[in-house]
Amino acid sequence: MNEVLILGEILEGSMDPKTLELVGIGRKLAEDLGGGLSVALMGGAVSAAAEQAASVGPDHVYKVEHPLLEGFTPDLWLAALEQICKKVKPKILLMSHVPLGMELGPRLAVRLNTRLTTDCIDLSIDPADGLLLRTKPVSGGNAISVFKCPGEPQMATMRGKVFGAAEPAEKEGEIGDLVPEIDDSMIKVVSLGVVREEIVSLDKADAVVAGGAGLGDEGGFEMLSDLSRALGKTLGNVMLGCSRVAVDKGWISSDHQVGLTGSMISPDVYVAVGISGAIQHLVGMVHSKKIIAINTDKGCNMFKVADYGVVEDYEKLIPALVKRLEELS
Amino acid sequence: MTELNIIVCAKQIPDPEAPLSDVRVDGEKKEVFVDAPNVISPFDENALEAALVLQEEAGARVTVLSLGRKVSDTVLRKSLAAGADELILLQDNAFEKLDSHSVARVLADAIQRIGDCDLVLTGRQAGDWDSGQVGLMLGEILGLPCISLAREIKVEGRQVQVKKNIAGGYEQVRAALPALVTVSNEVGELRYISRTRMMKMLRKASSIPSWSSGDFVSTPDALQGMEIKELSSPPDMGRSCEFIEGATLEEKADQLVAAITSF
Amino acid sequence: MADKSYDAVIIGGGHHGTIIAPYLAKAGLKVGVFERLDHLGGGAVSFNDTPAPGFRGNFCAHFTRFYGHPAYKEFNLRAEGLEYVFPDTNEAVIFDDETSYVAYAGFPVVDPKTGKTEYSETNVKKTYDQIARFSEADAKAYLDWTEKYKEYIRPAFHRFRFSVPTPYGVPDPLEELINNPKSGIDPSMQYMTAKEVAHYFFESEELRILTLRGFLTSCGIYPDDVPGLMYTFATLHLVLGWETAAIAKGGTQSITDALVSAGKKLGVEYFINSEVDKVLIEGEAAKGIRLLDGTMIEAKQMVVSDNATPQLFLRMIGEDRLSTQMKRKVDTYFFDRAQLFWGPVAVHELPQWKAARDNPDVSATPRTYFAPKDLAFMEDKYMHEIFLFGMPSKFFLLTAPDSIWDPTRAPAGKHSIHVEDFTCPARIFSRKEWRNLHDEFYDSMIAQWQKYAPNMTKDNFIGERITTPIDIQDTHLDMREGGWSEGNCGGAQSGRFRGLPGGFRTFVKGLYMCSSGVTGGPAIGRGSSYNCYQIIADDFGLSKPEY
Repeated sequence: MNEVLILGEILEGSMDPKTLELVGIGRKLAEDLGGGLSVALMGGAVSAAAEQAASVGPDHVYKVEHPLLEGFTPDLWLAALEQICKKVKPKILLMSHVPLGMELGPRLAVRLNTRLTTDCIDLSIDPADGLLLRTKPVSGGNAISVFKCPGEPQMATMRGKVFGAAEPAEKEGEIGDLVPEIDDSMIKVVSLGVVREEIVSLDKADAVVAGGAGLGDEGGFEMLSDLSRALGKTLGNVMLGCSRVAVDKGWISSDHQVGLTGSMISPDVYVAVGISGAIQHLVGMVHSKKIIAINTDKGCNMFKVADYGVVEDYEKLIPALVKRLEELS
Repeated sequence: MTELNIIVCAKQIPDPEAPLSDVRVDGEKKEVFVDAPNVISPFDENALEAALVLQEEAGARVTVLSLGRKVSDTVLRKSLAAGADELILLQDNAFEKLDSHSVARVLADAIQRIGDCDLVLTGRQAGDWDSGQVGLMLGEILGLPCISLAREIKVEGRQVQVKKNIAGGYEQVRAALPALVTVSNEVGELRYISRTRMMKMLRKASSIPSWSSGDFVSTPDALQGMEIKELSSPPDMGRSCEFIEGATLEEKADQLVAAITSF
Repeated sequence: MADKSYDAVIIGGGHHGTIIAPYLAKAGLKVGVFERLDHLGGGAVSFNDTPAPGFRGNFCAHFTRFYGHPAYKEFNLRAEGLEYVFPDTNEAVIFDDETSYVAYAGFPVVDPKTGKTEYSETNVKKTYDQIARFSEADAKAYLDWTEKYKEYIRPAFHRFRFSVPTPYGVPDPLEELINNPKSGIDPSMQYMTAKEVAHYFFESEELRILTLRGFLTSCGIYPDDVPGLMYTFATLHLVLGWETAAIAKGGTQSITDALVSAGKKLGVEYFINSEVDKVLIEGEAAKGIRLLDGTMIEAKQMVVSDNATPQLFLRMIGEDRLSTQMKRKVDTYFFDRAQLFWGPVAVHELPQWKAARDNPDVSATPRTYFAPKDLAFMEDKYMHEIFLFGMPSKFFLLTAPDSIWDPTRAPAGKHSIHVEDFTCPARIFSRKEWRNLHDEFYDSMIAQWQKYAPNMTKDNFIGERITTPIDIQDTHLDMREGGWSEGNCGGAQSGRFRGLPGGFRTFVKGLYMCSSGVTGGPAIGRGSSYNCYQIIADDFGLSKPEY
């Protein structure tokens, strides 16, 4: 059967918007394959989400309900998903590139003896052999590669916010149950509890003011704090970011780091101060809607991705900026 | 108490901190050339650091595995200088550009050949292809409990306890040894290697074993290369930088504020 | 249609771009200079508040003798503000057994306005006495070579530096001396390694060590490299202190400021923040340049490049225009020498050298090394440790306390000292490792310095701006691997062989090269741009300066 199966996710009882994005691309792939599209929803009780999923028009919605699937225990979810795949035998299996998919995907690929491509930004069907062409950024986003792999199901995890969400469809999908056979003995990794933390979540920022090696010392971040406070009056939630060098030098804690080994963000405004623009930093912020670069080296890479640039010593410019912003407010 | 045997898988990649201008994408050869020195992938360095902390706390023998067509022992030797007990290079032309699943199979074969292994540590993802697959695949192939995104690892008796990153905090989890853990940057940077340590390492590293495919790979025919259909530079972001000039600081500030706040 | 038009377009406002511009303008040409960075001068730049507030430090070049360059007189640079101070002491080395050696200038400057020098019997005697303390034979050799230097080598050296290189087979002024037995120059010296030179000239461990360190200072030549005649004598004159030490008031920036001021008076137009992307070639001739932002600049007569091989040939001209032989030359042009830990440190008080008990002059010598008296280490281990670990276990550190003579470098009562030791090419370590190496160098430097001068504790340091090769590679695109010499200086990359075949005249008609990447080589005040001008003057029938 040429079925495209999507592992749906549920967020506070409703279907996660990322799943809708998967339905969008999944439908296109199913059409090209001439097969069906189905969504599997896993959890303790998934009826409400299943109704929602059905409304966007897949051919099938599989409810995979089990008391042990309440909460995310990877070993059990993996076992359940493996059983579903063996029953449904999808040609293609799609998941979102989020912690759940990143955890289950590689292990499932081994169990099903197939290949997985993670963090894809596009998918299509090779008309020659019906295999999935998987487009993903590599080398820190400096190249885009299209991969093709053998094995079935053809597996990929998809990056969020690349495809639009699927619209409600006229024809509703059929909802059916798939009961997994799982039990406690499958749990190899036991959860002892969860600790919530207040950390800087740069992905929640409307704007980020970030500093790097060019600040020269720790004190530079005080100046950037002034600027982010001043910008906060017009831009909303403004947070401090930084490059890896600033963390290495101990000027600021690592939860502020933007880039390959930190947060990948796309705020409305990104102000880069004294950051020259190593690949590993650029890949984390290049999708920001507006980029401002302040640097004394006009040749630096940050100016190559910026919308506006000022070649100036930040220690002189930022106080003037803050003053100007205060005058305006 | 028997000593803990830890295996760390470390990949060699071009320095991810290299500037953009050092990167060249060759669409014809389907290769990305980076004109920068090779380093140990940053998360794998974190994994090594986690192993060395356990070595200090619990007493452990740390073995580093590195796989590639050709692995530079000058790069990986640093793992010995940092405190690893053994470095084994897995080198063969057949290992060039393997897909993640095949890499995991080769590493699993190497670990099985080594035999005694209580804990396998890998970085959470490589700093070049960013797939984030090999660690968990390796655990699955070896049939081990798999824990991802560790920020802290403790071993007590025959149990490993891990603080695992989750959205908005962490989860405390536990598994019986042997187990596999993928390591995140919160465990800390690899310790600094001073010259005196490097000197000692030079003596230690007089013979670094290198295994080729025939030495240990159980199913060489099953290995798959990555099939790259196309490789291209990312699309132009369509950005061109408008430089704000201005005779005075005030003028520059004025114009920049206007640029930032207009939508 | 070009956006701007000049008779001569100069790519790069580095040191040699700023020298050749006024020469071309004085010959009546309309000249435009286009510089990528936000400042002119290349290696001749100084920054305020470096390495700490109130200090002024040199970022690149530190030791210069621009008063000896023909441009100094030609453009009356003293009147443009370039003044030198001339200490009598020149070169000193302090060993770990608290002995020392100070070389006094054999040819001190007697008229700071013109840079006129005179042989000084007194200083030669003083240097002789210094050497005689550890070797009678070396002291005699010093006198003997000083005589030969005065009579034959020195005049030849000056002619050599400021004249266009002769073709292969025609002896240049230094090679001519090979045929003159009285000069003491033996043909085999052309092919000696630095180590062989050190052993040939001196018997004492002290002078051999200083010779090997001097080769590094002079041109980044390690003990087993072949320096050639020019660098051999450039180094011996450091070791024996023949020429006077000289300190540019206000830092090396003063050289750039004076040259640019002279250039502006002659009508040269300078553009900073103007990165050149391509040389425009029509047919076989250079017709102008295109800037990175798309601006087209027409060159009515010539384009002069102050770039070295990588940027000019691979980027601005393009590999596809190079012949196979040219490509081979580009590929064999190496950049794995002359990498430094380098920069100013700010201190509360000057080092109180233990060795000053013997000779107080060690406390006020413009170039003072501290070094272990361990020739075997320098010969056999120094370079190997550098390439393995990024720095040697024993430093042969150069310290230059310029603020003694030039009060503009430091606030009253404080001092600025330039420091230098060698390291390996940038490619050997990752960026993170270079950051660590920088910190380790700074800490080791202080620890080792204290053994020679106990007051050099961490508390005595106010700030530092020590750069590593990765910093230089990032800011200076022609300085691959972060060395300061735009490529190795030994053997096949030296003298008439430096650069690509064609030298100053490239294979593109109307495109000239005037940088350190051609004959003349690196360091401030060397002759490449002056000699390039002479070639251009020949080709275009321009007036030639008298020298």
